[in-house]
Formats: sequence, C-alpha cells, structure tokens
Amino acid sequence: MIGEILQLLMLLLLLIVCFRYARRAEDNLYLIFTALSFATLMLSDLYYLTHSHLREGMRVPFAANDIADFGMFLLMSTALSTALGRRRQRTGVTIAAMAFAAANVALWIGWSGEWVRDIFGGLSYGWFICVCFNSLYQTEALCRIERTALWAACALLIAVQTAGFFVPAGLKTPLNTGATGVLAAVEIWLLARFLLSLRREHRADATLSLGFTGYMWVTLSMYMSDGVAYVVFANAFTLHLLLVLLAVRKKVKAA
Amino acid sequence: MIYSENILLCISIPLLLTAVYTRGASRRSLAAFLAGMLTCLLSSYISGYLTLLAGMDLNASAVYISPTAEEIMKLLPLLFYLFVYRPGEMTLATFAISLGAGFATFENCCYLLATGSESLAFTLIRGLAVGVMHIVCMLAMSLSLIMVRRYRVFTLATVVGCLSQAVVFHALYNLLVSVPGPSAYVGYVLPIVTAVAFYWPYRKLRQAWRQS
Repeated sequence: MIGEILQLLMLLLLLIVCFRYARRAEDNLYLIFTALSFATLMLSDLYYLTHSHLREGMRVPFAANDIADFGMFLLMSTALSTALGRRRQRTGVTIAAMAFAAANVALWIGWSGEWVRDIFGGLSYGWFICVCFNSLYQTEALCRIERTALWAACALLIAVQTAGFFVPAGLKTPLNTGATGVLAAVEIWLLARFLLSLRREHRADATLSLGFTGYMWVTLSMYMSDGVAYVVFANAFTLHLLLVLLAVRKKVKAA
Repeated sequence: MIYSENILLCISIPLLLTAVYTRGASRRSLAAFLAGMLTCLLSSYISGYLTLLAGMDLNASAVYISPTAEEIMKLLPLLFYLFVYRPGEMTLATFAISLGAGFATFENCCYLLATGSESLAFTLIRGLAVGVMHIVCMLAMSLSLIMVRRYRVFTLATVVGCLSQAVVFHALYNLLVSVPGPSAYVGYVLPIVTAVAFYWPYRKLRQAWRQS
C-alpha cells in the first residue's frame, strides 16, 4: 500500500514537471504523450488504491485499472515513436519482439489462467516491446553485441520459465531464482547503460530509448516475479518513472 | 421495472421535430443529444448482457462493467462523426459535449423513474455528479481526438490510450459512489472539480481555434 501511495505522489510530481516542459518546448508532442501516460498510470493507481480501501480483501477483477494500464503502454509507445520521428522499423526485430511478447502472454495465461486480461494486456505490452526494441536499433543505443546479448537473455528467460511448467516441484525454486537473476542482471545492465548515456552531452534519442526500454524491462520483471523479488522490482518501477522523465528532460534540452 | 425504450421515444420525438425546424449548429447539437440518448440505451443493453454473463450483481456491474461499455459506446458515434463529416475542432468538441449531455440526461431520467425523485438533494447530487461526469469524459475524449488528428498521430494506439483515461475516470467515480459515506461525497465532488479544472484550458483552446 505504501509503495502505491509513493508511486502516486511520484506520478503527480512527474505529471506537473512534464506539463511544464510541454508548455515551454516547441516540438512538444512526445511530452504530451508522456504526460498522458503518466496521468493514465496515476488514475489506474488511484483506482487500485480506492478499490483496496473500499473493498478490502476483495480481489480486483479485470476492470478499469487494467484497461488504464493497457492504455498507458500504448501512450508510452506513441511518446517514444513520436520523439524518435519517422524512422525505419526493422521487420525482423518487430517479428522477434512480437514472438517474445506472445511467449510472455502464454506464460501469463499459464500462471494466472486469465485469458481476457492477459491477451489484451499482451497486445498493448507487445506493441510497447516492439517500439522499444526497434528504438534500440534506430538510435543505436546498444552496440551489436549488446543487442545480441539482450535477445539471448529474452530467449533464456522464456526457456527457463517454460521449463518451470514441466520440471518436478523440487526444481522449480532454483529455476525461479535463475529467472529472477536474469531479470535483475539485465535490469542493472540497462540501468548502467542509461546512466552512462545520460551523462554524455549528445545522443538524447539513445538515452530516451534506453530509458523507455528500462521501463519496459522492469515492468516485465514485475510480471515475471513474486514475493520479495516482486517488491524489489515494484520499487524499481517507481524509480524508472523518474528515469523516463530524466531521459525526456535531456531530449527537451537537446532540442 | 421501467420501459426505457418508451421513455426514449417520448423524449426523442419532440427533439426530432425540433431538429426538422432548425439548421446548422443547433441541429447538430440536437442530433448529438439524440445520439447520446440512443447510445445510453444501447450501452445499457450491452452492460446488462455482460452482467448476466459474468454473474455479477448491479453494484459490481456499475463498478466493473458499465464504465468500459459506456465509454466505448460513447466513443463510437464520436468517431463516426469525425470520420464521416470531418468537422472542425470547435464543432467536434461541441458535438462531443452534446453527446455526453444526451447520455447523462437519458440515464438520469431512467434512474429517477426507477428509484423515485422525492428527495431534492438526491436529484441535485445526481444531476451535478453523473451529469457532469459524462460531459467531462466526452470533453476529454474529444480534446484527445482533436490533438491526435491535428498532429497526424491518429492511430488505434492513441485512440485506445485516450479512451482508457475516460474509462478509468468513470470507473473511479462509480467505485467511490458505490459505498455510502465519505468516499461517496468525494465521488460526488470529483466530476465538478474536474469540470472546473478543465474550464480554463478549454477556454484558451477555444480562443486559439477561433483565431486559427
């Protein structure tokens, strides 16, 4: 509950800052979309908190906050793609990203059994994954070896999580720990690359791409973990909102 | 039990006749108002069907199903008007507000007929809260559509993204008023506060549209 309240306050602050940037900047469309995505997430959090308070103990069914989360991913995707302008989308990357998203949806359905929520969520989140991975190629935010390593991590993650359905109960815990380790390692690596990119004077687009990709990855980490790992990733998610704003700020300054 | 189709007929016949004798912006507003009422009826059918399908009670349906069904249904005539008639920015916003007003009016009529209208305080709250909420949602949606059209980013992703805000705002209101007590009072005030907050930016935008 405290984590959600902190996230809500953080979002309110980011929303105000984002709108202030949007008023000053000339080419401000991506700022408006970023602000709108923050506003959507804020409303979703507000709904979740209100539901938890008013209907204590009752599980939130597939409802408005899920739709708001889907909307948030779509608005984030639009913010990133408008910030980068009309650049060539790589068909191979799009197909691979879609396959990764589809594998994730299959895993979510396997874990939760909620078809409708997971399929609709997967569509919007899959689109976000596509835009993020394409942006890494378009801005060359990561070098070729790093991009290959990222794809390898994605494949490893899917393989390990799928294996979790078939192995004996005793092997599930080490597999889960391994998957959490991969998620955390990629998360730290992306964070380090983002901070390095943020310090450099130029390449605002690359920083933006890394910021949004980090945000996408931390969301994936939250969806793929439980217990203590989930709490850690949820806090990292709040931190990532701030990182997205820093990336946007760099882009505004560069313009 | 009320027969909402009969109520719709009774209200819409004089409005249809008025539309025959009017021209231009007045006729457009009347048409939007009528479309809003019809949309309300259709969305109540859909919400009712989904409620039965999900096995929910009316209270749960108002929180979990109605906001999504109603906002999607309200978006459809707006999109139809946008694509078929290609209106100007000011015209689209006015159409959306009239659509929301028609929706809210018909919903309030049916609600008051079903539950009674003896309490003046209750009817005032109903008018100021639900009535304003539908208008605010439609205004926000129309402004989003105007923005995405102006900047040539009119895609499914942007439309669904903007729709999701209206859905969650509507659901938040329904959730707050579903439980009696302080939360319900917050819920009743929420649409009015949002409408006031929207007024100044909307006025600025309207001036900008007039100048352009």
